Amino acid sequence: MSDLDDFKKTYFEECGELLDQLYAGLSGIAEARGDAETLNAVFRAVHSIKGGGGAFGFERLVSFAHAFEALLDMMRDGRVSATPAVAALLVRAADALSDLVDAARSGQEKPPGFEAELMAALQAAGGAAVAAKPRAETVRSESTGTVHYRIGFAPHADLFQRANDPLLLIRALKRLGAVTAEPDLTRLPDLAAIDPDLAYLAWTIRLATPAPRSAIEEVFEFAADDCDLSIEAEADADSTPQPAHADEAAAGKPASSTQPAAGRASHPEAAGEQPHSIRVDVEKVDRVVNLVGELVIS
Amino acid sequence: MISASPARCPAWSRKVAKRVIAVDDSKTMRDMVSITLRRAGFEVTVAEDGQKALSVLHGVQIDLVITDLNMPNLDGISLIRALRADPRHRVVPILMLTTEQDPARKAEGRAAGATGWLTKPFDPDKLVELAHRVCA
Repeated sequence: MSDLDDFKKTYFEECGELLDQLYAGLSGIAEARGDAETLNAVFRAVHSIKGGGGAFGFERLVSFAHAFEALLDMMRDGRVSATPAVAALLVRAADALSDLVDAARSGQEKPPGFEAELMAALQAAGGAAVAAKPRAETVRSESTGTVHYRIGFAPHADLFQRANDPLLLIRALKRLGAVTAEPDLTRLPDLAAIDPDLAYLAWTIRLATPAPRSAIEEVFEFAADDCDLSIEAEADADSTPQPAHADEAAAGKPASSTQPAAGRASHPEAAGEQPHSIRVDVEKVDRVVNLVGELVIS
Repeated sequence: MISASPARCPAWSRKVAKRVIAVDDSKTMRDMVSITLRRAGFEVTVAEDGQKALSVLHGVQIDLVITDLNMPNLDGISLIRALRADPRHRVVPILMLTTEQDPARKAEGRAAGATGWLTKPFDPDKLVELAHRVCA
C-alpha cells in the first residue's frame, strides 16, 4: 500500500503527542494529584500507541504496550493502587515505550530482552496473568472440490436488534457459491400479531462451494450468538441448487396467511396439512391465486 | 425486514455510495479506515469521539458506523447505546474496532447493540469485506 508511509508518518507524529500526554498524566499520578480522568487519559495514550502499532505490525511495541495497558486498566478498576513504587514503575515503562517507538520509527531494533525485565515487573505489579494474547490463528483447509452444505439457520427473535439481517447473510453466502434458501414459516404468527422488529423466519440453506467450512462460519460470525446454526456437509450432490425463488415465496406467504383472519373456511384441506416448512414454485403460487380468484367469482 | 432481493442488491449498491462514519480518537486509525473504505467506493465521514459522532449524526442518516471503544468524552459502548436509542439509527449496522480480543468486551458491545467487531490490527481487505457484508 503506497499510503503506508504516510500512515506511519502520521502514526509517529501522533505517538509524540501521545507520549507527551502520557508523561504529563504520569507526573500527575506521581504527585498524587491524578484523578480518574488522568488515569483514563494515560490509559488511552498507551492504548492508542498500541492500536496504531498493531496496524503496522510492530510486535514488540504492541506486546509491551499491552502489558503496560493491562496494569493501567487494573489501576482504573481500583485493583491496583498508585503507590509511589507503582508510579515510578509507570514512568520507567513510559521511557521504555518511548524507546520502542523510536526503535520502530528508525527501524533499529532494540537488543533482544531490552524490555523483558520491565514487562515482568509490570505483570508482577498487576499480579495477574497478562501475558500477550495469542494471535488469531488462521485456519486453512486443503479441500479444493465443491462441497454441498446444508445450513440450518434459525435466528433468535432479537436478531434484528443488532442490525444483523438474514438477507445480508444469505447474500454473503452467495459470494461463496450457488445458494438456495428455503424459509421455514412455522414461527410466523398471524399478521396482526407480527412485531416487525422480531425475526420469525428460519432458513434451510443449501450451498455448493469450494470454500472451506470456516468461510461459512465466518459469514455467520456476528450472528452466531443470535441464532441456532448448523452446518453439515451433505454426502451426495443430489440437491443441486435451483433458482432461488425462496425470497419471493417468503414475501408472498405472509400475505396469504392473512386469509384465515377473514374467517372464511374456503380451503379446508390446506388447514389440515399444517406444513412446517414450504418451498413453493412461483408458478404454483400463481395457480393457487387464480384458483382462489375463480372460487370467489363462482 | 424484507428489502430488495439479493440478486438486485449489487446493482443499486454500486450506484449509491454507502455512507460510513469512522469514530476513533486516533488520527492514524481514522485515516486508515477512511482511506481503505474510500478506495472501496464508500463515502466516509470521521469523528474523533462518541460525542462528536453523535453531533455529526444528529438528523443525518448513515449506512454504517465503525467505532473504537476507548475514547474520551463519550466512549464507544455509550455511543452504541445512544445510537440504538435513536429511532433514526436503531437499525444501522455498527462495527466496533477494538484491540481487545476479550470476549467480555465483545459481549458488552453486543449487549449495547453492536452488529459485529473487527480486531486491530485490521486487514484492509477484511474491513472492506465486512463493510459490504453488514451494509444493506
